[in-house]
Amino acid sequence: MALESAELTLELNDDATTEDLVNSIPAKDKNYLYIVREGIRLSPSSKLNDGDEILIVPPIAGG
Amino acid sequence: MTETVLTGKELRWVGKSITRKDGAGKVTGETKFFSDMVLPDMLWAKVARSKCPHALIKRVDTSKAETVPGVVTVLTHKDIPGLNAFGIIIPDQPVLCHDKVRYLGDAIALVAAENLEATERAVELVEVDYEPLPVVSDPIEAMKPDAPKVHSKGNIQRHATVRVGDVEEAFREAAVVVENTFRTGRQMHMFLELEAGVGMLDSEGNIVLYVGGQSPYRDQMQVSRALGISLERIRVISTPVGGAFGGKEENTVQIHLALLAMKTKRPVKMVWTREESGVAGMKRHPMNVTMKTGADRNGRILGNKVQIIADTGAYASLGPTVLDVAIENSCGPYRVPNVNIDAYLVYTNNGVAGAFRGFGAPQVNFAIESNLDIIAEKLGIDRLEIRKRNALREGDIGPFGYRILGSVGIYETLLKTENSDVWTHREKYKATASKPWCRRGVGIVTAVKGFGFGTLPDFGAASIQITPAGKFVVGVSCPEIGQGALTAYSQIAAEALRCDVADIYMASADSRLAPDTGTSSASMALVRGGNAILAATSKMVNLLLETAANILGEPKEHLVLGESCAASRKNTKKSLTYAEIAQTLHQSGSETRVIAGFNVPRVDKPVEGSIEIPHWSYMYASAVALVEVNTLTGTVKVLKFFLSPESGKIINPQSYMGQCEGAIVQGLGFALTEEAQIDNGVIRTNNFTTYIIPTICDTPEIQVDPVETYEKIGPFGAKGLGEIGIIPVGSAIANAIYDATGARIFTLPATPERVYWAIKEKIGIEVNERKGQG
Repeated sequence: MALESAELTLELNDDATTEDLVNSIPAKDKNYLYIVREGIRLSPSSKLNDGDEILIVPPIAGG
Repeated sequence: MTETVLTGKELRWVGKSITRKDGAGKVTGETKFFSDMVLPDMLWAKVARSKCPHALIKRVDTSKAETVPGVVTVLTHKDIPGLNAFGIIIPDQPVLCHDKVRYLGDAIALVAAENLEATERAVELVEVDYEPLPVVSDPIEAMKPDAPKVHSKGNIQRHATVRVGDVEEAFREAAVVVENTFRTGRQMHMFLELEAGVGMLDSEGNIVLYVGGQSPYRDQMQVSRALGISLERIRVISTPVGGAFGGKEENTVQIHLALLAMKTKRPVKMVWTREESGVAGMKRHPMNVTMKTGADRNGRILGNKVQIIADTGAYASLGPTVLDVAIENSCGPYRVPNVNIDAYLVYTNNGVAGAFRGFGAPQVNFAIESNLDIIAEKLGIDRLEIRKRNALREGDIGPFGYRILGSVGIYETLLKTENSDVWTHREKYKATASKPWCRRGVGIVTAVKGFGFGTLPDFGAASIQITPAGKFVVGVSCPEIGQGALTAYSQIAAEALRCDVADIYMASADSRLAPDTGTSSASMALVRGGNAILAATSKMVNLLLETAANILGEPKEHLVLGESCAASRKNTKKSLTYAEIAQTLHQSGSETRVIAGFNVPRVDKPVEGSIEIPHWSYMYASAVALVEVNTLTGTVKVLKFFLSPESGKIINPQSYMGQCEGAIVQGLGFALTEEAQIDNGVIRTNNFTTYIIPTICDTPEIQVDPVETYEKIGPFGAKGLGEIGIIPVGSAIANAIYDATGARIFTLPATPERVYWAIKEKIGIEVNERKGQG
């Protein structure tokens, strides 16, 4: 995944989980992406809700 | 619900110098760090490191090492089950090298033994056949197409270009244009506790790491990636930390300890030696900065053209974003309408550079503040006045074409500086040199740095649990690394929960006990962790009021929090203490823990060519140094240092002053003495006898006079702080040396030799000029 920030809107099934979301995004290395909702990291099995704003964070740090 | 708690009353804890929770133990020496840890059945571990700065590995033979009495295991790259690489941004550093070494610190094998002596003998018996390669030690040479390649893709790890406006046109319009090249040294962190820790398995076979670091969850991720096991099976406890300053943001001993614990199924301890830390540890990026700056006749900057060459050593670590911070700060806190920057991050065989307090900003600050002084002199403008004329103001467009969203207090810090004792009475101080051959001078500069990760996505979460006694356990994973974060977090939590600060207990820096609050880095731990705590207190307040409402039979809306109690607004006799509410919650089996977080505000899109520029908000400061230069020896004594940071709301004044004073003293080293000398890939200064850090004897009289403001994205209006104090120190001292002697310093540290020869050169120029005048 490029380091630049970007926004995208995804259409997922009603019972979609974090893992489904990760599988649907165009990222190169999906194993260590942090999926964050309202500041809290979600587990792969966390259920997503309609209208959720999700932050996808590659495990990097700036300064 | 939070608003009813936070507004309309005087702050009880925030803004007070509450004694550091961790202070007494650290001052008395009672605190036990992980390097002090001893466990039953514990093994010792050591790394067999490369003896060549650059070579192909033809053979690794551990058979002799394995025969040393007491040795339990020797591991090589073949024993790594997952990715044999680490690196926070780009995993380009091998956990254990298999085909090539790129610096003397590269790890080749791991030894675990019953005692330390056996590990030391065994690592010497690890046989490695090398095919030496030419050593790449000069980053400028390394950039040439025919230079030996440190990595197969070439030595330029990153080339960033940022363009705003038309800088050449700006130079044509300028009344004065100056161009100079500045160089800065390779500073080491020299934390008192070396890279160290203990790894073990718990009763379920999960890995537990006790390693003082700057982010347990990032360490967990890197260990997971290398060992190929799930995150949940790795617990990282990162506190206490005996000093970090950025040098423990990257993996050091974590992956090695995890590998050895998995293999031996015993507790394993590793403590690097001071010399090993010098060879293998992170360092500040040395930079070559060529800066061409143009200004109109009133001293207003019209354009700045900058080339930055940063030596990242053998691996990238955090170098790509260090480069961004260098770019972002190369124009200072000034209005600069035209900018042209080319920045290079270059691989060499010179150790490894990574995060270090200031993160690229002190290096470029030296350049812009020197150039601005030169321009001021050419135009006959007072040095403070030229900074006031160029200083950014609230709501201004910054140097990269974006509007600055956070508070901007640089002008106000210059006003404070103008009225400071050292500036006001500078002529008096300059006139009283201690010896006839000594000269005194003052240097005035400003500094800026964003806090947080700029446009990179960032977040933080915190948890709060109420105990049966009605007290609170606050979970935050950002480690206390000496900055006073634990105490500040407690103050924020106590303020928001309206309880005594003594009733707040921190569950800190443990990936099993606290949610992910991110890293203690980028001057962001207070803002990120504090906001996460406020989000969690909001949920906890709601829980307290709902529970009290049920018990009292009152609508929740009629209740308000008092000091450690919930009471009816209408009938103050109807109240419950937190202990009473907690007992109901615990006895009923209700949830007693809440968790909440927040996404760090950021500008959506980075400036073209950058990774993380701009930041949402910035720290600012102005500073003055008074120095005395011995013109016979070139030695520089800093007599006074004045710092005025724009502070946001100060959460704990005592910790605030400690941070500023510590940063200034660390900056003295960057300015005057600290430089890891690496000669053809071999470090020559790797302990305290040859690498000289400032002591109390070198510490000047320090005055800190903050401009207190309100930062709208900070908890209670707080800003970041940890790095801003170090950024102006080198440039202020360099400008003071010029003021004292007329000799301009272009290389830091300004060692006695450099100052001596700069004075000689200046005298030589004057002599030649006199000769020329006949």
